[in-house]
Amino acid sequence: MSLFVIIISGILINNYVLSRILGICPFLGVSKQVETAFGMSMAVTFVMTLAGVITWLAQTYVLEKLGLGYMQTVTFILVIAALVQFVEMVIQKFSPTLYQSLGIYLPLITTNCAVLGVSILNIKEEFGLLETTVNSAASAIGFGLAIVLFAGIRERLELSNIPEAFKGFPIALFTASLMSLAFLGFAGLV
Amino acid sequence: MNNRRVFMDGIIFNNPTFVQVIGMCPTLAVSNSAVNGFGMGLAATAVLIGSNIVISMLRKATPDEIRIPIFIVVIATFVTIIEMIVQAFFTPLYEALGIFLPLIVVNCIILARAEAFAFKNSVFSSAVDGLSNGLGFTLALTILGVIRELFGAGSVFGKTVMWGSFEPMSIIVQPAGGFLVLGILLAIFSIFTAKKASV
Amino acid sequence: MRDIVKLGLILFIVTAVSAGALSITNDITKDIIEEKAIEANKAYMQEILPDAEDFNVMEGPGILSVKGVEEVYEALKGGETYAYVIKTKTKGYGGDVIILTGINVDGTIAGMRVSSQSETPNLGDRIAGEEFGSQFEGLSVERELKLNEDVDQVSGATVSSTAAIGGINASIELFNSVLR
Repeated sequence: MSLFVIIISGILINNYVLSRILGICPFLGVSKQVETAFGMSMAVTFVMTLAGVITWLAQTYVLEKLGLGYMQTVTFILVIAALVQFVEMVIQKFSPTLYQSLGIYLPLITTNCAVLGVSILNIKEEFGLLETTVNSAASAIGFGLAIVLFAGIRERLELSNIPEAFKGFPIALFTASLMSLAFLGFAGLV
Repeated sequence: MNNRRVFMDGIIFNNPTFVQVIGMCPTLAVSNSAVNGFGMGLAATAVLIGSNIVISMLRKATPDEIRIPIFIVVIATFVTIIEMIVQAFFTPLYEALGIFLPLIVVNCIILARAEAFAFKNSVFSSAVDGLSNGLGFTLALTILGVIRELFGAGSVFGKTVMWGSFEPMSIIVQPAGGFLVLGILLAIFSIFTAKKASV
Repeated sequence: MRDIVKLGLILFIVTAVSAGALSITNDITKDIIEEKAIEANKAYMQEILPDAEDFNVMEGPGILSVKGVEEVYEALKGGETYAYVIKTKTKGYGGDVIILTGINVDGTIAGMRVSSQSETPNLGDRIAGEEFGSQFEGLSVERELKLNEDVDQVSGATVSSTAAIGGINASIELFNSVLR
């Protein structure tokens, strides 16, 4: 598969949130304001790309070499948890400003299923290292795009008059449903 | 805590899906048919019971600083075991659930129960808590699955139940339909809880 | 410092126990999973080629040279190869579509079966149905098959139908370039 197809597919066609349904918790949880949504998507992009590459290396050079394929889930989730911790410490030490804007989102990323999802999918699709890197980044950007757009809509919803029963999650889910419908239009793109 | 209370909490009063609104990825992704929703629910229940029991047994020996990594390892182990069992004995379900089977690891419900309950309570209570939260999750997924399969495919658990000329609304079994149906259910749920509160 | 060693050791023990448990489960389930996969193939192959007495896995240079081809079997009757079954994997709408295509030595398609797919229920998954699959029976493999020309697609499921015909075309290519 060409890299271009991977990028388009990761961002639009197989959008992680709206078509693969991965990473819904932060999508619903951290999308009340565009600013925080943007911060979250930045943190996720960073961690997801790094996690995709490191788990690929772990799979190719450790698990497959040792015939420990069944340790995949345990290894990947530990690698991701350690990576998130490490990134948090590094950012805190070297860039307190960046830490202030991203720091609070980092612990949430460990249980963001999009991160583990991209790691497993890279292996399933039998991607090489370059494809893995591109796919992880593109998928993360797709996640970011969805959550920022969603937050934009939710900011406006705050100002509108919504029936009592639909306030909160229901109206958010309807919005997500309509966005998912819209993204369905990209399905025939490649 | 009273074990019966623990049990009812997980299934109804503190239902992971309808009340806590967590574990949304599998809820939306695999509830496109009743069988898938039910199967996913049971797989998660098995993991929950196992991880709750082990984490509760280890709670005295687990240092606070590294409890999260230990939870994660325990949960991931159970997930992989369940994954292998499902693959060996329920192959069609394994194929239908796909990537969402290993992703049970990051299902917030399981980590939340480990942290909020199993780490502080006795082994037996933790098992009950795992069972009840798992069943609450299974119940929610099955309800969603039945509704989506009924309207999206005209069948329930694979059996056609709608009349012959019924044209299935295939959008309901797609991601967009998942968001929509869950939204409607949560709205109905909130109408009932609001009424109760005002009475 | 001693704390870190102690914490690391505890975590290591937990992980080691986990690895042990997984390796035992893996040992128990591995053979069952493999057997089931082969058995499932056999059942489909027997459906495609009811006359076959035995199936052999084919190996050798070029056998897997076409992209998408996963496994190749020869079907035997009276000790002679009279058809091939080729297993392919292509990308559908919801994931991989695994198809077994039977091709007779005379260059006609004996039949096809979808052995695994995760397409949209009641839409894309109709590629696994009788109506779609039976269209391929008896078609010649002189050239690549085209959707809506040689066979009708499943209406509303272009991506799934394309994946299915892609798998069959990979089988045709392999038959023409290597097996024939």
